[in-house]
Formats: sequence, C-alpha cells, structure tokens
Amino acid sequence: MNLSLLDPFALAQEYPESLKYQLKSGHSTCIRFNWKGDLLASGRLDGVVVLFDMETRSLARILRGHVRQIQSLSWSSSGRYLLSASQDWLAVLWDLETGSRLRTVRFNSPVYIAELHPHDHLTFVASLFEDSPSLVSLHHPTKTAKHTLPSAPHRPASDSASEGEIDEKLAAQDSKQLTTATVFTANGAYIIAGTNKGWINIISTSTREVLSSTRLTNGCITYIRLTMSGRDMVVNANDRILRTLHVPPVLCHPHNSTPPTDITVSDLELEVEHKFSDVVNRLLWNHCAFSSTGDHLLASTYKNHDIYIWERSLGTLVKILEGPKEELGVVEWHPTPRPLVAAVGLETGLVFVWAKEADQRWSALAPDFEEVEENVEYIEREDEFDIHPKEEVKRRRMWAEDEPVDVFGMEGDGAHILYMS
Amino acid sequence: MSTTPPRHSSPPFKRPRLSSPSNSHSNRLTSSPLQPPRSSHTTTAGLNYPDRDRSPLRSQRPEYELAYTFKGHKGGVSSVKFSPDGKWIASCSADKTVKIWSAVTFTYEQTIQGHTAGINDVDWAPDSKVLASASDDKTIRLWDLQSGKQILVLTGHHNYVYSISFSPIGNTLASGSYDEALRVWDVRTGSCLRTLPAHSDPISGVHFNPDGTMIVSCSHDGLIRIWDTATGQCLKTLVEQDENAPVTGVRFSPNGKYLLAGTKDSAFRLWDYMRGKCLKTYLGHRNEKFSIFSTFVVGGGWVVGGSEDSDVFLWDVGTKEVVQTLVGHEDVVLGVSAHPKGGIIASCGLDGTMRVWIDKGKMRPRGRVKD
Repeated sequence: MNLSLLDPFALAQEYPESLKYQLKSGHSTCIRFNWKGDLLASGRLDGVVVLFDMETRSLARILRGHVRQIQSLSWSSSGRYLLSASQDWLAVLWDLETGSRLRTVRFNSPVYIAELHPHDHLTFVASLFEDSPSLVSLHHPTKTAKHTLPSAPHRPASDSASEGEIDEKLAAQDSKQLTTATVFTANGAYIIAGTNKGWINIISTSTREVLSSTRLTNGCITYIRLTMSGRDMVVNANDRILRTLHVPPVLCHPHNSTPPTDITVSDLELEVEHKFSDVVNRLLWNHCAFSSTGDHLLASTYKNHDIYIWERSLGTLVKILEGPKEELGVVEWHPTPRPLVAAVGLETGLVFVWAKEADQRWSALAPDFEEVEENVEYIEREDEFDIHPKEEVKRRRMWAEDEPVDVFGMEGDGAHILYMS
Repeated sequence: MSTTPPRHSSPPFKRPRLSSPSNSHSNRLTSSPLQPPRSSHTTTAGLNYPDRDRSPLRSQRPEYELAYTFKGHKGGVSSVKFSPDGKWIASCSADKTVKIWSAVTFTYEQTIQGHTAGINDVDWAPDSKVLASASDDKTIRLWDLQSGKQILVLTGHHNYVYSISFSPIGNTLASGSYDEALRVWDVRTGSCLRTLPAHSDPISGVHFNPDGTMIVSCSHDGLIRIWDTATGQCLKTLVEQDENAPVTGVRFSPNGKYLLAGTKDSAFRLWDYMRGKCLKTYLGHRNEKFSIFSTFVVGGGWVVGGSEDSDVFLWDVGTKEVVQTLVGHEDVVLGVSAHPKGGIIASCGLDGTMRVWIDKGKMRPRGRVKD
C-alpha cells in the first residue's frame, strides 16, 4: 500500500548493496521466508525451528519437535502452516496459529527436502536419503498415506527386440537412480524431481508416474527451485554449474483448471536457458535462489565467503555480495520487491541480511518542495499573487470539495494489486 | 512546548452548553457561515451544491439514540475504543484507570489499574486480547484482557505519551508523545525499535494504515507526516496552507486511501495523501482547545467526531453534511469510537461518562470493511 509513495528510484534498485544486520537464535542451518515476507523460518542444528519477525527482527515463535538438524522448511501459501524436515527422519507439519504440532510423519531415513503442495497444506513431497521419494497425504485425520514415487527415468519404448540387451543394461542403471531433490510446480499438479545421476523427472501428482525425463548433467542434482510465478526453475548440481530452465508451459496451467490431457513427450522437453559457473575459480555452488520477480538469481559458494547475483535473462553477473568472513549455506531472497537477501553462515549459524536502504527524500518532509535535477526557471502563474479576501478563498475551496470519495472500498487500488502480484 | 493542556485535564472553567438539546439539525447547519446555504437538510439541497456522488440510498440518515450512560470513571474520560472483534469497549481516564465494558450486554466488566498518572489513549491489539494504554507517567503499558494483569511496560518516552496505535498484525506498536518523537515498539520484547524525531511540537496522533506499511503522525506544529514502517523514512508531509492550525488527531480511512485529521480551527479534514490535497472539510462542531477524536462509521458512510459544545457530530463522508448530532454529554466530548460492524457509537468526554449510541434506523450496510 505504501508503494505509490515510495521513491521510484529506490524501487528500481533490484538487488541489495551491503550487509545490514544479522539475526541470531542458536545455530541456524536452513531458512525460508513465508510468502508475505514478514516472517523468516529458521531451522537449527539442535532441531528447533524458530520464526523471526522481519519487522521487529525478534523471535516470533519457537517450535520444538525435532532432535536433529533441520534440513528443509516449507510454508503453505496461506502462511498458517509450516513443514519442517529433519535428519531425525521426521517431517513435522506445524499449525502456526496455535503453535502446535499438527502432524508428524516418520520416514525410514533422513529427509533431504520436504516441500508442501502449493494449494493443499495436507500434501507434501519428500526426497529421502538413499531411499525413494515419497508423496505424503495427511487428509485422513489420523492415518498418513505415503506413496512412493519412482526415481527411474522415463525411457521411450524401444522399437526392436535386438535392443533388449541395452534395455536390460539401462534398467540396471536406472535401479541405482536415487531422487535427491523434489519440488512441486506452481499449480501442484506435477512434481519436478532431480536424481543423483543428473536426470530431471517430471512426475504427475495424481498418477504418480514419470511423464518425461531429461538428462542435464552427469553429476548429482542437489537442489531445484522455482520462481514465484512457477515459469522458470534453477537446478543446482555438483558439477559446479547452475542451470536455469523454463518450466514447460503445459505444466503451468492455473490451479483449479483442468490440466491438458494430451501432453506429448515433446511438450515436456526441457531446455537449458543459461548455465552459470565460475570459470576462474571453478567454485561449487552451495545453494541458490531466485529474486521475487525471477529476474535475478543468487548463489552462495563453497569454501568462499561471497554471494553471486546474476541477471537471469542475460546471464550476466551483476553483483558479488561480500559480508561475513565465513562460508555461507542456504540463501533466500525476500518475496516482495524489497531488495533483501538472507543467508546462513555455516560456522556461526547466524542469519545474515543484506539490504538496500533508500536515502531520505528531503522533499517528503516539506510539502511544497520538489527535488529537481538541475535549476529550473520558475514561471509564475497568471493569478498566483492575486489577493483575494480570505473568506472568498475559503468559500471557493469549500465549493471545490465535490469529489466523490470512497473511504471503505478496496477497488482500484493499483498499488495494492502490484504488491500482491 | 505548546501550552495546550493534556487531553484529559479538566478545563479551567465549566463551559456553558452552547445549544439546548431541543435544537434541530437544520439550525446547526445554517449556523455555520462556511456551509453553503440550504433550504432544508433533505436531498433537494443538491440544487445549490454539486454533490455528484449522492444516490437515493445515501440520503438515508442515521438515527442514533442514547442507549447507555456509564458513569464509572472519577475523572474526564480521554479515549474510548471498541475492540476489533466488537465484543468490548475500553475507556481510559484522567483517574489513572482503564475500564472495560461489554459491548454485547453493555455492562461493566473490569477496571485495570497500574498507571501512576492520567491516561491519554488506549488501543486494542488486533486479536482483541491485549490492550495498550498511553499515560502521562511517560509509559505505555500492555494489559492482558482475560486476567487484567500487566504484560509489559514500554519506557523510553521523555514526556507524556499521547497517542498509540497497534500495527494490523499486532507485532508492533507506534506511539506519539509530548517529547516530539514517534516511537515504534516491539510488542513481544518491549524494546523500542525506532525513535523518529518526527515533529517540532507534541505529537497528538499516530495510526497504522491497514496493511501496516505506513504510520501517520500529526502534531501541534500543524503537520501530518506519513512514515514508511520498513525504513522509518518520511514519505509525505501534509499541511493546510492557510490555517496551519495544530493537528489534534489523525487516522487512515478503512481502505487506507485517505486520512481523517482534526485541527484546532474547528474542522475535521479528509485528505488524499497521495496528491497532498484536502478533499473534504467537515464543519459545524467546535474544537479550539482539546484533542478530539474522529473516526469513520462502517455501514453508513459517516464521519463521527466529538465537539467542545458537548455534542457528537455525524457527517456524510461525501456531501460533508451534518446528518445527525448526538446530544447527551454534559461537557466536551473527547473520544468517539464506532463499532467495527457499524450501528453502535461510543463516546466519552470531560463529564466523566462514556455513552453508547445505537442506530435505531434500518441499517443498510454500505461499503465493505477490510477483515
């Protein structure tokens, strides 16, 4: 709502400038902003999940339920529910309205990443350590329905019998495929999964079958992240390259609309838009995230103190954020147009925040003043210094107050819509 | 430092009532020299007044009647507020207490004590469970409604705390003080997040906009300033060019697009803060000495405000017409509050009473409220 009064130049600044402050509560290992950006969830080494209020920079809530390091956090779109996954083999769904543990799901191995369905807080997908990924439904009040998802890539059926031998070989290879990263598409109808052999599988949430597969790299895929619009994604792999890809448009149908039925394999082909790598130092990327608009990509570096920010569409490096003298792990970009980046220090477990604070516009303090680039010759209005009787001026002004006003309705609030989109 | 007395202090002399309760509205309308002359207060007055936004529905007048008078306080009552859930009314007074009344059964509930000096303002947290009060003892205190116990004391202001406002999510509280500073507090820890040297005279009003991204403050220096909550920077300054009268209270409209401010030249003004333009001036009441509250009434499209002639005035937001005066108080009316669902108005004043007025007319909801 304040956007319309803000300095447009300050808003045009798309990425933060310098390290501003840090948030401290235990040793943080993983962070995630909620969709509004007023809360930052932080998972700690000791299994405690805390919520930081970004406005007051203090603790809003402490959630105790895990006994080992938190691996991932995921917010529901409403902001009421939070899913935390930990190395203690548990995933916990929290109801933040009451601060209570809504459901606890036990797996048979530590959890890498657990991500909530974007429109249904009772469904989530989890990728597990040396185990098949699981699609979990908590719709039954007590029972937990766990569905195992396939990891083997979808291979088009071969046409001749002579290739049976190759197929067997492939099948043997495929059995070694393990899913290491999973994420829902923006409508929740599909799951994008990355494997340890560098494959990306697109899985239907309803049928739980692999629809198509693409091999991006030979290395293990460590992380997949979508932009807020869900149209682009970034894949981090341990071959030291970040890849941005367009999510196939057939997968981007709006939530609640019927998905297209005649999806062919060619519709689901993934094409790498840009590859981001450090050609000089050959740095490995620890973690990556998109900006709120998806125009920028940021990544923290292995055994290095810097955060890199690229302009996504051009693929150019625009900024290296320097900060604390320690390696940084999970990075997050604030989900509103505010240029604000948070990252976790691996040694100290502090959450570092980079931001850009606009300077005070002095003209805002004096209503008659206007800031101009260079001197302007002032041309007075014809009647500017005419003298009218005070009463007459007052009466005229009162008569001019005939504009219709609506003090209750929210319609046509452009600034508000801009903020929400 | 201005010589204006604090909101709750008793006047040096008892002001004689300006008009007898039998006066009709039309009398009062024509008594103001600034109002365009009107033959009657019906819609035919539109002939000599260009009110474009008037619809037949609009002409329906409020019919508020005095329903209850609460006489618990032992001093002037400085502020009254309905809770956001509409179940409670809080009133605060120069007698150092806050009293809670039920807005369902209209009965006395409890008295909250702890301040060591008179109280200037109260505000409810958005969950209606926590109450904050601002006092001349330079502190703000947070109270738990259930137990009536004090949760926190916010200390830091160097002079009387005059006005407070909770943020819409209830994590922060803004306060304005006679020390000319606007402070933003963390409600969870009680620490002061920001101190803004906002004005050059006592700050008389603070209010958050509905999404919490801005705070508006006003002061006896005649300025209204809008602050960015995230950065603490001033976004806009509004001033009434010719009058430059001390501003005594300000609030955002329910949709956050306009500001309603009261000034000591006996006017409430509706501002379009984007354009820095005053859109409407509501006249008819008297306000030259005290800080008098004004607010919007949901369900009618009215502005309600107190007056030093001991009446409560209701204006039509669009036409600026006085649609009703509520007669009953025996001294200056300082505080007014409208029920979040409409149909009930609470008022308080120097006569030590809090009064509840209920609209007997057919309520027709006009306009939506933000949940």
